[in-house]
Amino acid sequence: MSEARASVLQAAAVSLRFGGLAAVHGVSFDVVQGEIFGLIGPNGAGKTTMMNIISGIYRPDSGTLLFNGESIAGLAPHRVAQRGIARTFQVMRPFEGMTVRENVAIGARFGRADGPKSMAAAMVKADQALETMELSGVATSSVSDLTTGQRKKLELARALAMDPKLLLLDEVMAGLNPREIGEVMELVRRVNGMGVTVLLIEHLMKAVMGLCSRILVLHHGASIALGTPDEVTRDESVIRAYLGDRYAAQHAQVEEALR
Amino acid sequence: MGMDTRPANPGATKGDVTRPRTGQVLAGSGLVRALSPSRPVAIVLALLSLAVLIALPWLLTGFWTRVLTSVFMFAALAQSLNIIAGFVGRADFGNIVYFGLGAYTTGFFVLAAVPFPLGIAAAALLAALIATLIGLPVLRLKGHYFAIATIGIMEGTRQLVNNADFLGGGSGMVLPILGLEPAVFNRIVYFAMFGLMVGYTAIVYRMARGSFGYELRAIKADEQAAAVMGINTTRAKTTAWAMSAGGSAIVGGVYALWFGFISPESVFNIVMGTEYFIMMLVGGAGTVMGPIVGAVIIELLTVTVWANFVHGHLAILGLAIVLVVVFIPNGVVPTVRRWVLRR
Repeated sequence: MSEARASVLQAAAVSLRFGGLAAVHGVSFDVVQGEIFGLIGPNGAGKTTMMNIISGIYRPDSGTLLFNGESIAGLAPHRVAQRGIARTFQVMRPFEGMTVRENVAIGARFGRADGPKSMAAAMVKADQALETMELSGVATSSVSDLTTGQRKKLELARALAMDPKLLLLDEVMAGLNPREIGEVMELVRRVNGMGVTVLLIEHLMKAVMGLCSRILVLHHGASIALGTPDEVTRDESVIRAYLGDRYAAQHAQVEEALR
Repeated sequence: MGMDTRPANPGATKGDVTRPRTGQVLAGSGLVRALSPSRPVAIVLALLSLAVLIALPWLLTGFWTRVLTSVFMFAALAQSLNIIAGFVGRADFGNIVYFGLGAYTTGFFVLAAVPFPLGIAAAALLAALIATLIGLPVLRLKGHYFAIATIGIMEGTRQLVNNADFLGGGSGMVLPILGLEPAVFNRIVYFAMFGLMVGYTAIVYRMARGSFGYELRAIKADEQAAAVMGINTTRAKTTAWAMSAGGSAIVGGVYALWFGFISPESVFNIVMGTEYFIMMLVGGAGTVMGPIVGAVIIELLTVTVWANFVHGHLAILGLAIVLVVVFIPNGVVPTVRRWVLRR
């Protein structure tokens, strides 16, 4: 590449405390235009909290958060959304009592300030997102009739209908069977191919390694490693965070012996 | 997960879903369209019943005219409540506070020789303003917390009015008599309440189909998910509550004129507030026709029982709550709709 691509999202020294607990502590990273950026770490590392800060659900105590160069720290969630950041939830949260198409149309109607001005127009836009996510067949179904895999795709379709510049995915693969995981990975690539930058939280290493160009590892709210999938998985502190000190020591001995 | 293995689930596999699922498709459209064979028939039926309802005050006795007037009044109140409780899902048990504020504001202005329509307009604006100011903090609450807060607001307001000498305090307020013949006056009130019921229902009908209705339903289903999808939840909730408050206040204003006497006990009346809450639940919260259906059922039942046992209507209300919660938790309208569509 001749020149570095622009940063879409820049976090610098972002911190948030819940009482005595430093949920996120001095976390800094850049997400570059067009990439799929991974956010991993053991349970309780602060991944979802970080995502909640980005999407405006929490206001950070300190630090800066820039989206396309403009600060979004502490902005109300709907304003963050309308700037072009869409997200999915770890626990799927479709609007019960609405059809699949209506669910997606809400994203289309309200996701962007310059989007469709009527629900009817939003429905048309929703159909495009449903087609991309291969959900056209269940457009008129009630969300309660969907399988887990279809619900995950619905979350993606709702976010996609918002025409996002940045898509935040919170464990979209969790609870899926291997075939569905393959499908959803393909859909994430497809959305990324449409020019949408992706930031994803994922426990499933196969998905993280297969999708992400760079990965940030969080542990106890602090970042401990940042790099390509290969760099991160060889990092001592990452191995220690995931597998404990004793394993890390053994691992180091083995590496030493092999050298 | 359980839903993956459910056998009779047409939406579960891709092969099945090309078949249109009538129930789901129509569930989103109106009761009129869902229940009637065609649109022209529905329009003719609507016009016919409109004509009957307009003729009724000349055909019925004064007693039954008043009964229908109170059915319309309760339907209008239940429809107002429906906006915040049915669509947004916030259990506004203290909604009657806006009815009372509307009655008192109208009474205050009419006594100050302000024309009645202006008094009512002032009542609606004041109630909407108060709901907005209270709503900004209180609408952050959900579930029981919100319900208890609204009851607190209502009781607090009643106590304030009880001690407000310029409003007559505990002894109430007597409004000037218009000097019309009773039959004519009753007909005017009948049509006022009828107009409010029809008007509010038309507003809710339009609202339910438009962007605002979807905003409210999304908030009811999942407020945080609605927010991250670009919905300004604070604005939508507050607007809904202001509409609801303004609607109840107008009904309160007409009530004040109708009865000619209002007191803290008669208009800040939690039993009456509970009555129209139950009507909305019985008919179907969050539906367009539910509040009307519920008001007709409960009020006619109440009047019939009341004629024989003075306090019997309270037992009827209690029984209605139990029966609805156990057998038709979604209310009459959604249940009938599902039953019709299944055939």
